[in-house]
Amino acid sequence: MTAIYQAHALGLIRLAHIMLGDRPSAEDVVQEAFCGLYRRWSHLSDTGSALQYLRTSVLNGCRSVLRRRTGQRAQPGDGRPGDGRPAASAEAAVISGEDRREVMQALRRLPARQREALVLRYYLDLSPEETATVMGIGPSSVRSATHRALSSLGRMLKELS
Amino acid sequence: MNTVEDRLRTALRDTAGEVTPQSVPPLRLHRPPGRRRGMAGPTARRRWAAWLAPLAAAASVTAVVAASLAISTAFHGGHRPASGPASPFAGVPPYYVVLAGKNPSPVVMQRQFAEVRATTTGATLARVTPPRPYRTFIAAAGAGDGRTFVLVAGPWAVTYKDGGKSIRVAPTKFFLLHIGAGGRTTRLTALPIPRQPGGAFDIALSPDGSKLAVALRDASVGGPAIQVFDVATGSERVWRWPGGGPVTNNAGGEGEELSWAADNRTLAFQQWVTGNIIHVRLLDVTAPGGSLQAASRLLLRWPGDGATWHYVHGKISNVLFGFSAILTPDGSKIVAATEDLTKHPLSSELAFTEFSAATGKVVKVLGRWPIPGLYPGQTQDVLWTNSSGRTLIVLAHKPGAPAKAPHSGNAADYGIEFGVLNGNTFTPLPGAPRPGPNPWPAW
Repeated sequence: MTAIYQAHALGLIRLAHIMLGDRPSAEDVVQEAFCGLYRRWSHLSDTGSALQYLRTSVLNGCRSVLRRRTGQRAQPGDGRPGDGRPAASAEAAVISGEDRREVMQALRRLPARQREALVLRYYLDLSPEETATVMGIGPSSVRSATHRALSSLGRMLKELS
Repeated sequence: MNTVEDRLRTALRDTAGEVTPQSVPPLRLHRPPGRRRGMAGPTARRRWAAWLAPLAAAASVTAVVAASLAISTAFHGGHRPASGPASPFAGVPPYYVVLAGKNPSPVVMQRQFAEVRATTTGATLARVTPPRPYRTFIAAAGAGDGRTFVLVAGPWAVTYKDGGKSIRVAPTKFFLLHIGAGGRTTRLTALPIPRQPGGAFDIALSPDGSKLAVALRDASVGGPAIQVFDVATGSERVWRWPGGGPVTNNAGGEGEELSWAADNRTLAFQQWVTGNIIHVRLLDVTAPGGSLQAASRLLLRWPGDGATWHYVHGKISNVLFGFSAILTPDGSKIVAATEDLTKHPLSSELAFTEFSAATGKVVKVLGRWPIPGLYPGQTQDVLWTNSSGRTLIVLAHKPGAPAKAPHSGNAADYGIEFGVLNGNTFTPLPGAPRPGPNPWPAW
């Protein structure tokens, strides 16, 4: 388990950070995922399935956090007051940084399934089959969710630019 | 960056890059004290940062391979600790664990389960039974946060020989008990520490839950020695003192004889040396070597025999006995139940005394209980202290007139009870177990 943590904690925190836009919550979710693994260690069919379990658990944890946030406060980067987004006059902003902000803002407006499919496909470079396993849906659903997500993302980015 | 996919990949990679490898925290085995699910923000992070001590070096963690076990029964639904800032119970841990059996007043050894109780009400919130093949719990210790405990489980092997009955409760196994929000749920997890052949009755869990100290009393159990286990990995260090006095206190086998500072490296222990002299020593668990004598320093020396008493004009005067000493988490003091005896005229005073952990000198005397005309042979104990020693959970006299010397060997007949001591004010804990033959609660 030590080896698993050493190998994957960083990647999983990054994954949760992308999903949540909030570092402390991301760390919490990953810690919870490892605690869950720790509790279920004896029930795993093989230790090779641990990473898959962790990814699924992190995604589930992120969903829970996002559900709790709904209606409670503005999500980081959603453009509402208080999200720390620089004012339009902040011309010193690096262009790439601004582009990233826009992409992440658009990404977080996607439905959960589409957002997760994009992150797993384009951040973790998982195949549709691997993504399907982590998300608990079929590969065809992954393909369709990815396709729709990219279309929506493109539209939103056009509106933002 | 032309396509949506390119922009997406770049944005994801850059966002992920905000989390650096150096910033990955070690894995924690349990939720830090006071933390609530979903609570995230600067305050929560500070608490976490303060709580986290690496469970092992580097990424540290939990090579725990054993199964996760037993979910307990919630008895009375949720419980919200009632302590507030103005309450005498402010700052005390919300829950404690006490071992109990079917018979509330056993006269013989019985199998024990663990009860989770609310500190401020005494309400029993959950019951935890030892997972098979273990049949009984024999000891419990808390990290001091009221949520994290270690339970020692053993078999219950009964043999009949020479007309008598013998019960074996070793080898023992350690389990981590985590109490969830509201005290409703508990999680019991086997620790990767090897089973202990001689049993383990005297234990102490470090404040961050990362280390477990076990006292091996004397040669009969491989001591005198102190073992310190890494809770996450099960690795062990041991310090021995061949020929040294038993590592124990003189509180009748109860009480706290091992205690940790919050630095998780300083461990206070008591040693019963020649005659009835009690030493309190501080062990640095990061010290190299395996000599308990060399790795520890003598801090307090309490007399127990006539040769060490103080004589004033040929009369014994102001002899301070101590027992059940514990180290405050800030490492500044030893707090102990003490007894100050004057023989001419005969009088005694029970109290809780704070000693400087640097010099051994008395810093403060709390909860004085004068008892004129007799030597009480009394039992008192310190079971928990807050960081500075300002608030204590103790076993002490009931408020009111001093009790006469008891003739019973049963501690319950001594007129003592569990309570909170703030300065000189003792407030009994409602619903706490009656001090008796069962093990005392652990916080």
